[in-house]
Amino acid sequence: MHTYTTSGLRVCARIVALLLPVVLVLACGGPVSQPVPDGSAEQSNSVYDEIAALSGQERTDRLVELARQEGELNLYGTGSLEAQGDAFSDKYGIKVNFYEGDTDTVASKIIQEAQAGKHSADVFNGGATLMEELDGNQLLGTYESEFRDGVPDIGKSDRWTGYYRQPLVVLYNLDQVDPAELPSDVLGFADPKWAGKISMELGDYDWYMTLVQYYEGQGLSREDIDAKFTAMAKNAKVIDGHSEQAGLLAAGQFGVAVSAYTLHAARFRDQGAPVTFGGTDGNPTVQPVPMRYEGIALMAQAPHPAAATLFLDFVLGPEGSQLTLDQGQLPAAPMANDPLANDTIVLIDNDEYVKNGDKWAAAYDAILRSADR
Amino acid sequence: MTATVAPPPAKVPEPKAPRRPSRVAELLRNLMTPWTLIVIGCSVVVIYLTVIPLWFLFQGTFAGENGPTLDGFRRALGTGSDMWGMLGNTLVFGVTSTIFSIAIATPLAYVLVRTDAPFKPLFFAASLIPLIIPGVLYTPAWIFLADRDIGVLNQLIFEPIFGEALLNVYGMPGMIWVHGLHNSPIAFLFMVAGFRAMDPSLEESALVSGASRLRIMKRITVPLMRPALVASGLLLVVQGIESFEVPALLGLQNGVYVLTSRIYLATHQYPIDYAAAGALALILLGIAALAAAFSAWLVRDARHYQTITGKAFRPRPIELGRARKWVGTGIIGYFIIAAVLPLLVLVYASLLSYYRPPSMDVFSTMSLDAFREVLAMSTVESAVKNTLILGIATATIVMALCAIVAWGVARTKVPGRNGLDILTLTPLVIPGLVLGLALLFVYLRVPLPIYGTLWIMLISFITQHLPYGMRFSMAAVGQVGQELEESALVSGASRAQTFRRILMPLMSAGLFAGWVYILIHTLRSLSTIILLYSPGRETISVLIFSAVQNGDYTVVAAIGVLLMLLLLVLVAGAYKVGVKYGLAKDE
Repeated sequence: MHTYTTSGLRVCARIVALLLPVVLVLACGGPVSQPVPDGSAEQSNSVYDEIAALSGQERTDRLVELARQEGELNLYGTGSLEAQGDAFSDKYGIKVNFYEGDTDTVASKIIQEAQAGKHSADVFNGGATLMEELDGNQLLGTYESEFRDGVPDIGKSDRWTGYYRQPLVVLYNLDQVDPAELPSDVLGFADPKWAGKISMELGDYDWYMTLVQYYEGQGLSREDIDAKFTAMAKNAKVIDGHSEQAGLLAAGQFGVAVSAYTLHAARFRDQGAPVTFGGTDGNPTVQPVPMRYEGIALMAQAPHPAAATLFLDFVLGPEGSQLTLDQGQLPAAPMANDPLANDTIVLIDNDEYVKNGDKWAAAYDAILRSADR
Repeated sequence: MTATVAPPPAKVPEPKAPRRPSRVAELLRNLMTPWTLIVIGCSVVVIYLTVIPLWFLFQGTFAGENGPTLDGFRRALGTGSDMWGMLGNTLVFGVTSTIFSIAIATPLAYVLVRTDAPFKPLFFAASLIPLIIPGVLYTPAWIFLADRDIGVLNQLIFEPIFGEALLNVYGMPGMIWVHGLHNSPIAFLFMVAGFRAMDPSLEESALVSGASRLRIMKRITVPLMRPALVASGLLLVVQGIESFEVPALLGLQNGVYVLTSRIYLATHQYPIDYAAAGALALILLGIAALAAAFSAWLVRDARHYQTITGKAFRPRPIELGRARKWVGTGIIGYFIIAAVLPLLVLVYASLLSYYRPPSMDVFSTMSLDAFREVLAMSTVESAVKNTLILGIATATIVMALCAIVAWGVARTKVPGRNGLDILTLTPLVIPGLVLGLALLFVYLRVPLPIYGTLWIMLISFITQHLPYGMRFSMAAVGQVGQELEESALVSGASRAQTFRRILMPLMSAGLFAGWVYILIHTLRSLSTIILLYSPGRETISVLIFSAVQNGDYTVVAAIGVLLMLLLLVLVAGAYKVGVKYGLAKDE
């Protein structure tokens, strides 16, 4: 019996000895065991109410004072606010913590945390559908400011405010495509002469939905529209991910991406790639342009409500808008010399997408799949 | 020290029992030995880690508003979705790429361990390169090599010589090629460990008896390697059917859809269809369970494969003679194709402002800007630190846990042990999002300060890597002869002593291979980490994720190059330590 005990103990000791450094490193590795901050509704509301009663410089001064006391800001979202976050941090000396990921993932995380009674997000940025979902869970706070007033009504809802426009444009590579050959209309890519030269994105269900609605409004039947999309899919290389698609477009694997982001147009143009969607550079823009607003919102139970409010002021104000523009995004409020000024903009119908998103997804998926390439 | 605790040599007479000993008491006494407790404890940990996400998966799949429902399956298999076609593609992809990986890796491993082939020192580290290159880079690297329009090989070699682009990386053959090459190091690690543990005298006696080399290979070598072949095959097949990276980039363009494309559809629509995604994951799980049962059947006569026996053996390298230069050429060819070419593309891409095919114009614009950008990231230092802590901790804990559990599965007759074995495979097919949500759900509610720390990330990593640890451990246990343990026990050693002094050292080659694999693989895991990380606790894969999101492929390439250097140093260091502590040397 004794041998059992001693050697068993020794094995235990061995295992402990093996794991001890790991445990120590994990335990002492600095920020590892720092508690997650937790906000409460009363605290946030009292700040939101106090600020709502103020205006102009008085409001800003009070916000800065309170935000500095809070000292930190937890930003949940897609990572497209990194530049703004860094600039905000430099300007006010408030530490910005980024929680980045796919917006769906980040929104799921916020909801999970809230359901467990943990509220660590101050600000969320993401698309309208997720905003509505968070709002449906009573997670968003109310934000009012002169900057929000400057955003058109279609670009905001009661509890979130659009901070940039996300048009889904036809992006093309000037080395591969002669702009004069481009169709004026996106369904023109159904022409067999585009075989192998265009690319569609795997998950752009709302792009498809919006175009179907648009062409139905133009008097086309659903069958005709879907026949065109099927012909387009037959010409297309299907790519998963907009940035992957833009990268391959710049590399010349195909000449056209039919539903791309302006962000990538700007990014690759800055790097010297011959990629454009038209806009203000004199090249044609293929019509129509489905568009959505990417929103930003305060959380109802933000642990740092003043910093959150100050950050929204910053993002929607002139400095933030300029940074947004520098990133290749179009700020929500229309600009002088706006690149979309002359285009047929079709707003993505968010209510329809929330209600029937699965059906649109299945329909688009079936079209991509049915195309026998 | 031992003197104070060792039992007195004299036999202690058993106290006379006044009545019949209760069977329950006897059972309890058998169960209460420290070794049994350790095995049970480790098994409980494994069950705990795997059952929580599995329960989540089942709940998400079957729970409806009005009680249990099969709607998830109905939507997943819905009309017009061409289920059978996708299932067929999935199986063809999973099985064929596995065969391809094993077919490349086995001769390479044999040559490395058993012959006097040249270039051996290069071998071990170099063979891991495909593994180190993250999938998000390895597949694009092959697009840049073998695309019809922009592929370097087509442009520089095939078009000038043959007048047309002969290589086409898209479609099923391209998918199998890229996935098989990328994962051949898994099979390689299994085979190296297997060959090291094999007694060459068996082959030598066959040779003396007049058998040809080919016949020996067929009748002796391959059959004896069955545990390693089966374990790596099972892992590769399951990994193949659950992978999406390669099918997404190389299959979709040609309309080749696999089951995971449907999981993608279910998790990328709004609202996320957890039930349909779960139903598909359960179908994958079913396939995995069948594969596991089949593989258990293949190695059912455990004693046939125990090559490490009571007989001492000393591996003597086979002299290749005239074949040596051909083997050398083959080795170099493999490395050029599997490692050097993709690596060159990576280095090339990291020097550009955006990726484009090579030309004089491109070379004149090359710079180190992408590397500067990576090193200037504020989070890069903590990301490297966190990644290393998590990687080393995960690899060590998983291998320790799995070595013990594998012993329990392979060496005991406890009912349910095969279920435990299959359970360890489940993390491979559970979608990362589901695993992440399950962990969030649990650790947001338990009163332990785990949420928002590295601990929760460690738990997710350990869970995700159990399938690998378990396969490597099972293969390693399978080669050690039971008689060694039996003689140790007969000589008075305890089970724990036997495990530590006999089994562990003999399994060390396999355990080390698993450790290396897991360490490298942790760098690529992202899907759950993105849910679980918090600021200051980023990992390198989070940095890669945000660079990909931004479309900064040159930055991704630069991270890849730096990562590779870091890992080569790390693995080489670990290998040195391993050699010092008795891991068989190649030289």
